[in-house]
Amino acid sequence: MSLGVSLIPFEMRGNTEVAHLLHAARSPESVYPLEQLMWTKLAYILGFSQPQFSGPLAAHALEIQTGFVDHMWTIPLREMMDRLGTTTFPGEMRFEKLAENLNAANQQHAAELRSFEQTYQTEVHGVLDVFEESTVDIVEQMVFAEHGIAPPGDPEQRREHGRQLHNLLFAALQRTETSQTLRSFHIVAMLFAYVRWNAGQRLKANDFHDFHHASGALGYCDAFFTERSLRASITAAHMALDKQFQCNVSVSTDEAIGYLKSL
Amino acid sequence: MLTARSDVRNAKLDIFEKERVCATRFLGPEAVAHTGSRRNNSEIPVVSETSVVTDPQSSAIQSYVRTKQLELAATLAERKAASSRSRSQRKYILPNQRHSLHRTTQEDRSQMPPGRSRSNR
Repeated sequence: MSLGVSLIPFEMRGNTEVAHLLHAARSPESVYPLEQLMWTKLAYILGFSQPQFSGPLAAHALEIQTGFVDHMWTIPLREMMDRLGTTTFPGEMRFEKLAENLNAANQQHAAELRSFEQTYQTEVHGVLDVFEESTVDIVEQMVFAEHGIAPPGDPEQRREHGRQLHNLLFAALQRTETSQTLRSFHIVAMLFAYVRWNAGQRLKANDFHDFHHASGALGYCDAFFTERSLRASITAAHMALDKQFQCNVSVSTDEAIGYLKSL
Repeated sequence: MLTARSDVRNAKLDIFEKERVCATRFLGPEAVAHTGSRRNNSEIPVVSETSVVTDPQSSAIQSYVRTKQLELAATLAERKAASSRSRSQRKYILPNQRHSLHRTTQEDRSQMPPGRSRSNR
């Protein structure tokens, strides 16, 4: 249905948004519009990889790699499914375990939460913790490109840089304008905060996938066809993510068709 | 003492570390930055001057993929703009234009194979 057009993976989207924010802060004219950087074809939705060559073939590596990319770029979903086979994704049980752990932790610390804003901020810290290492990579690349200074190998120094960047991005996520750039972090933090603040609601294994889908769809698409409970989270008065990102959210076939007809 | 934040953080870190399967972890400086005031695809540099990837082969293939991504984004933007234009044209159809639109629809139908209509395609 999408003709093979896909969004790049969540982790790559988040890091690209950070890189974009930092580069644009230095020179806004030097970056591509964020919306142009998020698209790929379905063969690369788990990330980009290419064949590597050594020996006599190394001289022709680029030629072969570009040919390989061109080929993968045109593969339809049906062919990709055939290639992947019917083996079940082995990691699903881990998401169930993760949901279980988070639900237990959420319940244990529920009394510490005083407001939705505080819950959101806690979740922002959680998301930024996950991305701390890669944000350091981004800045180190910028420094190297501009000043030729190689990254320090000292792990403690990297951790310290990570903490500084964490605080910088946390501040950025408190401002509407910059939280629009860091939209993948913002949307995921909002959705996790919604579950934690909504006493009695428990995370399910599938929520992790759904929240990543939602961050991509709300952040970069005009419409999101999803399920009723996720729409309830997205459109709740204190969330209003559909309005923030001007994305139509449909939950039934009739609604989706109605939206498509309106185009 | 563990806080809610550190519990959540550790659990999420665990899953993300295990899920880190892609070689290219982000579209970093070499991807988001460009060197000029590019506004059309023909001006996209094949290898960005700001690239910090030390392996020239890797840099070249990443730039190639980025170019394809940007071309894809440009195609999507063009289609969206075309769809918007068509929508705005539909919105402001004058009464005499409605007639011509209707006639076009009838002509389309007349070109369909017998026994087949839009509703059952």
